[in-house]
Amino acid sequence: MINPQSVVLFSLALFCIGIYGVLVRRNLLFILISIEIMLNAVAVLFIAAGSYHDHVDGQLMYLFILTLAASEVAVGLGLIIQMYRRSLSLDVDQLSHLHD
Amino acid sequence: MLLELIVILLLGAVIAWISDSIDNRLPKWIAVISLLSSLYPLHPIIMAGSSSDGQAWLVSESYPWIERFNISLYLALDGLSLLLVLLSLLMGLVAVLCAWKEISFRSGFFYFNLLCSLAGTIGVFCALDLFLFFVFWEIMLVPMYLLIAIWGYENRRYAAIKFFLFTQAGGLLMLLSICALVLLHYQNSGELTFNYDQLLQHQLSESSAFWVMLGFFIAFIIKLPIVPFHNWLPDAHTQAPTAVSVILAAILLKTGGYGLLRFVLPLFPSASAEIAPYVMALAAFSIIYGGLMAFSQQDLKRLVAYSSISHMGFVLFGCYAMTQIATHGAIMQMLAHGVSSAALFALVGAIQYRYHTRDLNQLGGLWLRLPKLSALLLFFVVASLGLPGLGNFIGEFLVLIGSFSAMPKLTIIAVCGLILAAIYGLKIAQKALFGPVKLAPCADVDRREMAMFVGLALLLLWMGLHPQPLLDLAQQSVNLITVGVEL
Amino acid sequence: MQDHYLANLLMLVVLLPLFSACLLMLSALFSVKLSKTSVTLLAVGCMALAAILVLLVGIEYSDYAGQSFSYRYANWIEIGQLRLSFGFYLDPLSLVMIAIVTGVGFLIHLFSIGFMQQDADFQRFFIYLNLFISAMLTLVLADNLLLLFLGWEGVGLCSYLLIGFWHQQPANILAANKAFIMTRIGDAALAIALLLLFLLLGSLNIQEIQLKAVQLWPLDDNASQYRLDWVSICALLLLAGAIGKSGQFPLHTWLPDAMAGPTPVSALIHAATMVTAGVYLIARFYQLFNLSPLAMLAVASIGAITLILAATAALVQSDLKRILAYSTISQIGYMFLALGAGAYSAAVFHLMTHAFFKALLFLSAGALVYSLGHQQNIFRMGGLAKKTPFICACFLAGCAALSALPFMSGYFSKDFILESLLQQQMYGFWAIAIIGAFITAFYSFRLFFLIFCGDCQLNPDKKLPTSMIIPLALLLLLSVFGGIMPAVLNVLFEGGPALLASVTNDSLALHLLTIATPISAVLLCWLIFRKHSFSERFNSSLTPRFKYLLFMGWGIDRLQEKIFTQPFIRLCQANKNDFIDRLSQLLSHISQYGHRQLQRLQNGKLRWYAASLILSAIVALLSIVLLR
Repeated sequence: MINPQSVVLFSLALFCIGIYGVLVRRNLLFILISIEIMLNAVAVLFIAAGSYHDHVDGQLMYLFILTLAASEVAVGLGLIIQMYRRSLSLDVDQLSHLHD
Repeated sequence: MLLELIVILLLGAVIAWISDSIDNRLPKWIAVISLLSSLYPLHPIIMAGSSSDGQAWLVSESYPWIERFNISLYLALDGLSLLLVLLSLLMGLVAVLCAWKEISFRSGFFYFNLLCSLAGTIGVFCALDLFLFFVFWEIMLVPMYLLIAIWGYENRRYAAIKFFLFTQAGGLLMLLSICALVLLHYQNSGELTFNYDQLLQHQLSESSAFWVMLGFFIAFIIKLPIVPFHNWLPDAHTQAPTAVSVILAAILLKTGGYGLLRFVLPLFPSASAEIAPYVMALAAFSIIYGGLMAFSQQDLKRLVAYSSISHMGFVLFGCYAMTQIATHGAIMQMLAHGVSSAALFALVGAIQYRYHTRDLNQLGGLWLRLPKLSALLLFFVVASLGLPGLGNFIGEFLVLIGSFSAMPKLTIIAVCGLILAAIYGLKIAQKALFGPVKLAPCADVDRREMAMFVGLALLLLWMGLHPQPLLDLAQQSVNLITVGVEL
Repeated sequence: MQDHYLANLLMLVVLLPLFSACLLMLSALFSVKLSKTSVTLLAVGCMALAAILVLLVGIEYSDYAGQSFSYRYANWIEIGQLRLSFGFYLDPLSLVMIAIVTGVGFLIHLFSIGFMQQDADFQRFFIYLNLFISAMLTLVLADNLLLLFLGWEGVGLCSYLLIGFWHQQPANILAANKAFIMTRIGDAALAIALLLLFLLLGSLNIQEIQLKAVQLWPLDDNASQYRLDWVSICALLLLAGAIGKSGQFPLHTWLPDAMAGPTPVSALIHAATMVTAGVYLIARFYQLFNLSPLAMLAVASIGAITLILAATAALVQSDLKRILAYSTISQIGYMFLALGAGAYSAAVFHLMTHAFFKALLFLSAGALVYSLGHQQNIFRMGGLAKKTPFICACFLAGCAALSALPFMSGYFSKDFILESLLQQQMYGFWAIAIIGAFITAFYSFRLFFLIFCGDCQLNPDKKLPTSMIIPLALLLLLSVFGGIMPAVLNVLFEGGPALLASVTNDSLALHLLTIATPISAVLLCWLIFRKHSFSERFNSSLTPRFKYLLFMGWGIDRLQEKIFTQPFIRLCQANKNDFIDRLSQLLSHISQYGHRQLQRLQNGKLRWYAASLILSAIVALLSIVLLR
């Protein structure tokens, strides 16, 4: 049995890495990857919480998140490809046409 | 009968819209026909006339609508609303005649909106269920917004939005007040009702009555309009096409005065009496301010619009003097101003149609170019500056003589408004009609216009020389209005 | 029924000119071309018929022996206590007035046929003129104040239209505007008087008002005389109305400008009839005025001030019609003086003779101007006595009557006024009146000498048509012999309200003085102008600045413009864009500013959004944790 505290810390670290990636990277692809990392951090937390409480809901939520992440990646990658075709760049700072 | 009246107009509106796709000359004929045929349901009421003494309503009818909230289609007419309904139909006809040649772009939709707005106005004058009243109040506004925004002149979007925001803000306050009134009544009696007669029986506590009244009051004085809330009117009038100006000046402003007489004064007699001195001061200020502003305008339509503000000040003044004579005066002033301002706007529209300008500096010497039109314009200017023998004078005189006992000093200020009326009235004549000729020759009034203007002139003369039938018709309503508040 | 007969006659008198005006108006509006002859026949014919009917009214009315006759034709407004009707009230006063209006009106109509013959707007002229006559008759016959007000405003409107008749010149329109607005100020006072009288006495019927006033406010001899009580306020407000209409100080400045209208109009409206409406109003309310010594004093003082002011201004004018206008103002001042002394009949008598001789003067001025090709400057004229002997005779008679030379009509009426002033022991006012008489005689003969004596400068190029000669001749007779009529007037006034103060002869010396004053003025005038061979040179003895002051009518016009007109216009200009509109636009500016500020947050930078999302999530979490 792993210490739940270390699992929480691990998940927090993972989440922070994700946040750092979202904020710092300018390439859309990396931002997407960072978001995936954040999702996985939450998923790990769910599994740990589920096994700690002896409850099946944690694993259920993990499956749910897994599906969500997969579909998100599918849609996100599709959009990114479209965007790259249009503007030949994946730099989010340049992709700011929506602001006006 | 009253429901038929409104349905005929709405039906006419829809048919006019559809008929546009067949031939774009059809809508105006359909508008005329539906306006004339809407007189048919009214004729038994006019025939019976003022003979039905004692009863509050000449005719009333009620159909269930939203039963869960006890809302019904409760429509009724008394002398006051009958007069205003007739004025609306007549001025609707004048408006259609004004638009006859002027409107060719999407004419079906134009007449659809015009008739819808008229139907809404007539609904406002008939509705005695507060919820229904509010619905009609909105039906009246939205087509009006479209009319200004689509068929207006150069700055139409701005004017339309301003018009809409002002009146909508007022409408919102009124809706709050209606809800508050109904809920307070529900708390006291346990019965949820929007029925005017039932709400009339109900006495509110003094503090709540004041706030509830204020909502109604502000909505109506925005519509009237009275000075701090008046500035939508000059813009709306200046930008609106002639027909819409006619409707706006002749009928829409009257819904404000009607609302005061029908709802504010009878529903909240003591709260109204309390604020009466302030309101009358506001009205007197409005009379003077409107007159001053009218004088400083260069745009003929703006000038007439500001003069409307000044004249509607007399209506508010008469309403809050709370004497029989003054209330009669307010009603007469509404009717006479309806006719005279409609004629003035129609004439300005006729000038604009011919010369494409409303600027007083560009006009001048019109008398030599269009002698008949100028003579008519002079007649209506003189009417609006209150020449005895014409309708407006009767209204103003009754307001003044009725208010003098209540507020002598303010009445004297209002009398000064008559001097201002002369000053700005003569400015129109001086700048537009007289002086050296500046404009090219042009066709004078044709038969359609002549019939319209002579008719309106005769109407004003009749109001000025033999107002008694109108006064008799309104007597019953005036009794009801003043019985609660007269000391 | 005798009553109905008289009532119908009166109604016809009022309706006939109205009928012709309406008919002419409709024909103009519906493009029915009428020849000048048919317009003339209709307009002047109706006027002649009205004048004949007034004669019949006079005959019929003589049965009443001075009793008043009133008749209500129809109800007008009836709400509760407020009962108004279309009703006429005939008594000697209104009879004299309708006789003047229709009589002089008819003569002036006749004169206008010739005068306006060349004018393109012949028909419009007669529409206005007939409308005016009808309104004026309504004014003098009305039995209630509101109907009187209808006539009062009606004549004001017609006066406006006729002053601005030649509407292409902006100056004429400005003069018309001025006239209408100035009188409108007086009218507002009259309207307030109407409201006040209704409030205090509960009636608008003129006779009822006065009856109730006498009962309610009996004249108290013990109390201090010049109190500002309700009756005085009412009377003063009525007076203010009269001042506006009658061109009295300080609202007189419109009248000289009103000469922009065609000359027959000046004769009819701005000399003979409309401007005397104020006098009529005060005479009509004599019972009310009698109750207020203060108001009486005010009437007399205004009369006296106006009398001197206008007479001196007339001394230096160069425009023929302006001189006559100032003289009208000054003569109406005499009437006010008489009213203030309580000599109502003297005032009405002077009103009548003044209507005759001033109409004569204006019409002959019109004839002169007509034959000289619209020249109105008297310095350009001279030596016209031989060229236009008939006009010269008319002028001479007019000037003589105006100067009150013995046995002309003006003499009797002015003498009446002076004597009643003495009788009331108003010696100060009497002295002013004598001085005024001197100046009057001086300026009228200055006018006469400058036009008709000396060297000839202009040649008349047109012959007068008969339609102009007949009215002139008739008015000439009336001006000379019209003063013998007090006997007739006495009969009329007998038994009625005691208008006529019984005149007793004061000392012979004072009487002689009133005769001697104008004669000496004429002689002085003759001496001065003969020495300078009838040119204006003598006036250079006045300092130029003072002369200019007089020329500008004591600068009252300028003063009014500085004090009222210009600030008013400046006020309006300053607020041209409606500051309240600015305020509400401020609201929209504020919301637009807020919109722009908030818009900055939406910069399109994804990482910026993410960071702010995370930051606010952290803040929210922390605040939940910490605040618990």
